[in-house]
Amino acid sequence: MRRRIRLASQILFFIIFLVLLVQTEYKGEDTLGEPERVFPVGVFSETDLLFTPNQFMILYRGDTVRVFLEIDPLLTLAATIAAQGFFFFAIGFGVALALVVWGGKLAAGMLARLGAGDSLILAAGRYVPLTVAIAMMAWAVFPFGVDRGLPIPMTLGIATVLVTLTLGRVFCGWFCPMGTLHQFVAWLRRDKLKARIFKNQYMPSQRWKYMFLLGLLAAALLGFQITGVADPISLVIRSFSVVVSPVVNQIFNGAYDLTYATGNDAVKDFADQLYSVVAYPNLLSFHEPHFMGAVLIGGVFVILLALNLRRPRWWCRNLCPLGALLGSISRNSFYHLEIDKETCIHCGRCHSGCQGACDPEFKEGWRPAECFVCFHCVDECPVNCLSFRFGPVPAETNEYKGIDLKKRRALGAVAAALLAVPLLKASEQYKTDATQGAAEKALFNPSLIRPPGSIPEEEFLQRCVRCGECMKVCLTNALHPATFEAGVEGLWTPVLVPRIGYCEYYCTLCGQVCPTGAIRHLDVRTKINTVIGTAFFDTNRCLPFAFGKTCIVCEEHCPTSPKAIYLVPADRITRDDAVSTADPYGFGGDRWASPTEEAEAPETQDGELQSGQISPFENDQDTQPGQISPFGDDSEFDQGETVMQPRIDLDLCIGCGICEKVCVLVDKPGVYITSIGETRNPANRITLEGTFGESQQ
Amino acid sequence: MKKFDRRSFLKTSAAGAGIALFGPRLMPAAVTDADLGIATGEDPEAITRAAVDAVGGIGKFVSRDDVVFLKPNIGWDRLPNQAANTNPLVVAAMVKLCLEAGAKRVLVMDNSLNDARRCYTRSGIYKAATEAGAEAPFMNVRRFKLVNTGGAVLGNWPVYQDAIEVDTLINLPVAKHHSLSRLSMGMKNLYGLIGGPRHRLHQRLDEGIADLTGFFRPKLTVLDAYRILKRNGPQGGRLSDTEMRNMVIAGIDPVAVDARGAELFGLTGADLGYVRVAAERGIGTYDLSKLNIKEVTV
Repeated sequence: MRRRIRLASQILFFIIFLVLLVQTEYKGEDTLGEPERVFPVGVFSETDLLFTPNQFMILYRGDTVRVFLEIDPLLTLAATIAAQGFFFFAIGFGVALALVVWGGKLAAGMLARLGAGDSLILAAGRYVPLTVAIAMMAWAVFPFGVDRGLPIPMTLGIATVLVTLTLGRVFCGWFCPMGTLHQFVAWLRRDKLKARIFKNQYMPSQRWKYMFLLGLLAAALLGFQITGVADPISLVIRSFSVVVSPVVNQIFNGAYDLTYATGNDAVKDFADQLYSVVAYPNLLSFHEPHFMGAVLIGGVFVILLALNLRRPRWWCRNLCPLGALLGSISRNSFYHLEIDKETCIHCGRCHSGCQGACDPEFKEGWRPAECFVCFHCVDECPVNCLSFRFGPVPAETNEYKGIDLKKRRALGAVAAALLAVPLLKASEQYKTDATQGAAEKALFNPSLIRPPGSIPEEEFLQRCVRCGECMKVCLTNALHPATFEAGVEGLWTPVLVPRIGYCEYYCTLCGQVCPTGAIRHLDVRTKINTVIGTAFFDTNRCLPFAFGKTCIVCEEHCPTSPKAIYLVPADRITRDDAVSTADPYGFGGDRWASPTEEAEAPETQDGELQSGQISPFENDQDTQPGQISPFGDDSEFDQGETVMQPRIDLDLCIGCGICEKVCVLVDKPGVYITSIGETRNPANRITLEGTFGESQQ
Repeated sequence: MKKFDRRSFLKTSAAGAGIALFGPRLMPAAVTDADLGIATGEDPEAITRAAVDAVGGIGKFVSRDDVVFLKPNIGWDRLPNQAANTNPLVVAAMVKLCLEAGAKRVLVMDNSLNDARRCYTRSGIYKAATEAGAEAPFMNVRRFKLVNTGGAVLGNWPVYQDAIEVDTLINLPVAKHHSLSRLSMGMKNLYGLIGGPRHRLHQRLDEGIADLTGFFRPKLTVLDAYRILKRNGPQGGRLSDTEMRNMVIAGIDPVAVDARGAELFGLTGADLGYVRVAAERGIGTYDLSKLNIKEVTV
């Protein structure tokens, strides 16, 4: 019975997860506020109206999938480490560690001297250290973390820890959407009883996840924080946002496209009706999203899912660092499994549905750290010798095993991390420029354009948990998972790719969804004054510069007022201004070509040569020599001798990228954005005024 | 001499009254219809109605059971007071007028340049239009059809099929500055009905705009000059870029409407390249002195 409730819970929370995921998108707002405020007649404090964000852009946090990230204690821990900075946390962590290691013994000793009962001493020995650790974490987060911009809801992870402390790894067994998905894939295999009993035995590989967790935390302490890459909630949200959502969109849109391809109006009308059921804002995205690096993220996701066919919940048992964290806490949980050894007939059926591979048969003892509280063992046992009970775990036998991790392996994991960090930091983007002082970076990656509201890079890399929410919610599909733009450390952090999407001027959605404050939620007025980069013209390609053609689509779209692109009149230089190849210095006359040479001359670049004529300057203005106007008529409209050429005003450009996005040069744009001038990095400047903050670039 | 007694007096009066009441509908170009209707006043809805009435009333353009495509400017992610899009109250007024004339459906759509969701919402047009009874869906990318527009520059171009399949197309632009065409009003507003690589049209913009107008030939152009965008167009940003004019200009001749609109910016129709091209092609005239212009204050 409890097994079915657990299954129902898994399905329910998975559905909630999917619904919230679909909700993590700009849905628009129907209401625009009071008519007299929005359509004012006459002049009265209208300026503020430009910046009221609430009616138009807010995604209420409770409506998004962010809540799953907030209850994730691994991310709470990781974000706290990042928010604190090394020294604060190292000291706090060190003190907490000491209390955890020795505090229990201290408390137990004190209670024994006071003559307390055995069970109380036992409980103190177990639970005091954990309570201390959690209290230290809470203390660390609130006064310091929140002060440094860590959103308060991130501390909900503490609630999960408390639940795990009491009930065991119910998060893994009842709530985790990643776990539910993996369990489902494993279930698809439909193994027979014997195979299932075999596959759900405890494996030594299950200790890898503890080493992995230790490695991640050790690296995080050194400032190298990539916990988000491996955290299961972050992983599943990222995979769904970057891979699954585009695939689902493609399937429906592809089918819809097919109906339109038939050309039949009746079919099209019917398709319109069907499509509207799934279309935005219901299930599908407004624009079909596509993400850079989706194949890699998707590949990792699919491989992990496929491993369930080898062993059920392979990820959860062997690699999941959140599972490792919760396992370390749950090994002393209040709610635990008990066996009546005399009744047990050693049939092994308790293993057949065991999710965590925790050895409920108590062959060498039960492993509470691996148990997902799935209740399969209790239900499957033919003689009902197993039951879950509340109470402190009895310590007098070897029946309740700790984590199967020897000190050597644990230290090895930490050491590996400590060595890996400087190894990874050996790559070129960590080089500093000695001539500019030790702290000055030598290299700035021009493609590393971060979303507006991003905090300075060093802390950004530590806070970002690579959940992909910002990428999902970005209106224009502008944010993409980085591969190496920010180094290995920056894997799958968000970068803006203006060729694909620009940053919508008044939008602040990415800052609204970021769970750790790596992208701060800016108010609109601040956001439109936040620089994320600068535009530069490639005058070798830009039409007015290179080809004398009128364009200025970039200027048209520039959202700032006054516009950051201004126009300068220049001579319209085209082929008509070119020198003759036959007579480049314009000496003219027959001395440069004999009549016979002329007559035999193949078609030159000057077009048809009439006999006796060399200079092409009399050619028709409108139609190029040897060319027919595509529309039959010559241009009836003389565009004049002057062409408008665009220039960037460094004081106004915010790097939103709309100019690059709309540039008619569809392959390599005539105007492109680099990260120069970004507000969050005062070192990333090119002008003298910018050095002193007098100019933004 | 004919007998002019009471009977014939009554008959004549009745006939006269009948013509006065029903004439504008019976006779397509009655004496009372102006070529351009310019209404000024505080209330956007009132001046919209007055301007349309001045050029003959909505019944002249929309018949019972018509499907009407109302094309406002919903191009940009801006609020109504930034004058980058058509005023939502003007849009609502036009929707109501069309429905009052008996239209079966009124479609309000544009091919926006910023994110369409934000443009439709923040311009206020989605709410205003749907509350007035129109449908305001986003454009469906699959509904652009390649059409031979006959344009010198436009040629074969993807056009939104609903815009050309409806009974009536009414153009509902807002008056704005534009760096390339100098101004963006009615004729330029038709850009929002085409798809494809339309940014390339900038390379021969004035001719392209004339091509658009010559192809679409909206039945009526209603230019929102309630609040105009004087600089940094076509989307502006600061309130100081805008200026209140409290005016709506309606007309059948799109060239004439734009020519009159140009005067709001201190220009004339002749100063606008696309106006000259269109006039040369016979799409309309920018010589306002030849037109019957009715100005109304509400």
